[in-house]
Amino acid sequence: MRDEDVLFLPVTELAARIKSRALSPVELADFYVHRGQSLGPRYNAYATLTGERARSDAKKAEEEIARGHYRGPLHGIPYAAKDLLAVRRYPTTWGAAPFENQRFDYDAAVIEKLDRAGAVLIGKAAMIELAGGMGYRFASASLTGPAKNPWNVNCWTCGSSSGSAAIVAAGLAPFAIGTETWGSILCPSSFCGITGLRPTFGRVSRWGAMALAYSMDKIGPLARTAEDAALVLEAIAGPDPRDRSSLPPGQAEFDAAAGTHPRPLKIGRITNAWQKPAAEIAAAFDAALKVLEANGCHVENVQLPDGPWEDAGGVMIGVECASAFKDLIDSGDVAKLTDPLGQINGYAYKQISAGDYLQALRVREILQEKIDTLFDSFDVIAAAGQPVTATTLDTNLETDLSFADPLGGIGNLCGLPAIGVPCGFSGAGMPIGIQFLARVRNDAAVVAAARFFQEHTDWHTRRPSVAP
Amino acid sequence: MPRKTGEKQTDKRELRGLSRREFARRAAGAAVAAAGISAAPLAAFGSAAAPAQQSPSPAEKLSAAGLEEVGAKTDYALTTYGSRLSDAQKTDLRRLIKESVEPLVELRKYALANGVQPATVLRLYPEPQSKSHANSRPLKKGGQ
Repeated sequence: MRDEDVLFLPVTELAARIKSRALSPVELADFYVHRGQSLGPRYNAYATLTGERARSDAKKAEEEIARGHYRGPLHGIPYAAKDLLAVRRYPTTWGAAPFENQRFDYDAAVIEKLDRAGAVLIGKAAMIELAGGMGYRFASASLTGPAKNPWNVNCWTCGSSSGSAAIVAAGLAPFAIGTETWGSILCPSSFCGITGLRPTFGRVSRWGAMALAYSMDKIGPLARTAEDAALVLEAIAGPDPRDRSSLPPGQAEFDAAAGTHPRPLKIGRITNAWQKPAAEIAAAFDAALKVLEANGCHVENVQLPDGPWEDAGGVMIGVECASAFKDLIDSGDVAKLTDPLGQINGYAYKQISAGDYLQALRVREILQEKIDTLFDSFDVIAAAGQPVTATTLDTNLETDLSFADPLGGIGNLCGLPAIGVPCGFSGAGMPIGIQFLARVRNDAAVVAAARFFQEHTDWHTRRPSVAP
Repeated sequence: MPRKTGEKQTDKRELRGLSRREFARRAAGAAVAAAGISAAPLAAFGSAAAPAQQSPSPAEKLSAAGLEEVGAKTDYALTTYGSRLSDAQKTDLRRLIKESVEPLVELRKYALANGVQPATVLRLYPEPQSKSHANSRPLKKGGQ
């Protein structure tokens, strides 16, 4: 096996080698850090490499494992974290020029948990400035420039977990942590041909993470396989009194082993998720469902309930974002953001009234009931990951990447768990994805669906040509 | 038992039946899926907002009152922040505010019974296991 092959192995296989001491965590971390230094700039993938910390943590892992103290499947496994998670001693820029020199003297809860699991942080992943909270018109809306898609560097990774997706797709780390308020894990996973898991709202503590929209922000992994994503979720899930929205003990935890399903999955095929998906995307999605059906799943058509869900979600994000970044907007420092839309959109957000915000919150209550009823008939509902493949770097996202996204609105407004996995490629060789959503707290169902799909397909094993 | 939802008002709308204009407005979401944030406040539709007193054109989504709201909000935003914006940014801000008001039309129409509570997050403080329970604290004068 070539060195590069090792770098594209899933966590499960790397873990087996590390546990058996066939693979050195120190060598593995050095290898990835070196690769991050040499290839990271090609994709604008990293904001910061944390080589010194990585070497220290990897050495500690290696010594512990040598002593027979194996912590579990993430022990000695390198990873990257989106640059909105606080990491002691390193910059945490939130991808934005006004916070270029920001540092925290603590680690975010997710970093703490991954530390406890023995994982090795090798870098802070690049991201769209402020996770796109202020809106953005171009892929270049980042302190580190546009993240480039490893499948075609003239294309974008999608955002806002742009660097996290580029890192996993290019074999710069076996997994990365991303966040999603609306689409920021699922879209990059679809554009980059990797697995992205958006957990149930409140399952993963956001303490130490930049807030965009307090009632909608989620943290989750991007990885090579659903099985890997589940292992990471198990490590980072759990109650945390420091996050007001954290699920309580007994509900917040996640058991990766629960991501298998004892009976044939009942899958709802959403017929109104996208207005007009590209033909090759519709075909790949159909083929994916046929694979699932052929292997025993029950697939039935289902429609999303209609209502002003996207409108409500938009109001909520606008108001909460304006509150989260009040100082930035009021001081005028918002003008230092890279993107022309981001420089002024906060002023528009601030004009949304409290009455409209409360209306949106009350509409959410109704939607929660409606969507929960839908899951009485299905374990998961499915749709194409995105209606398009990765767009070019110079695409005007406001005018040229235009589509309604009721599923994204509903899923994020209600905090539903979701997973995106690759299910094909376009004629131009760009990845196509499928997404599964489930009832709140039933993250196991989306993992089960994705694992089942990956057991019967090999799309997730494809990788781009990333010659040094 | 009173109806809890606004089903009659909204459920009959078929997504597949959206007009091109409506689709374009929703496409506002342009950035939504891509940007990982909501479409509504970022809607990319139409040109700069009409002046507050202008009557709506046949293709205009907003009513005269809606356009007045856009005008008032824009005036307030420009009064507060206008000195730091270029003319182009002011025009763009007017457009953004208009696009943030447009989705409110549907949202406000959605019927909600009095008992429908907001799905917001409020965790009671202090926690039950905490030593100092709220009911033992004196109320501050002048508070609400």
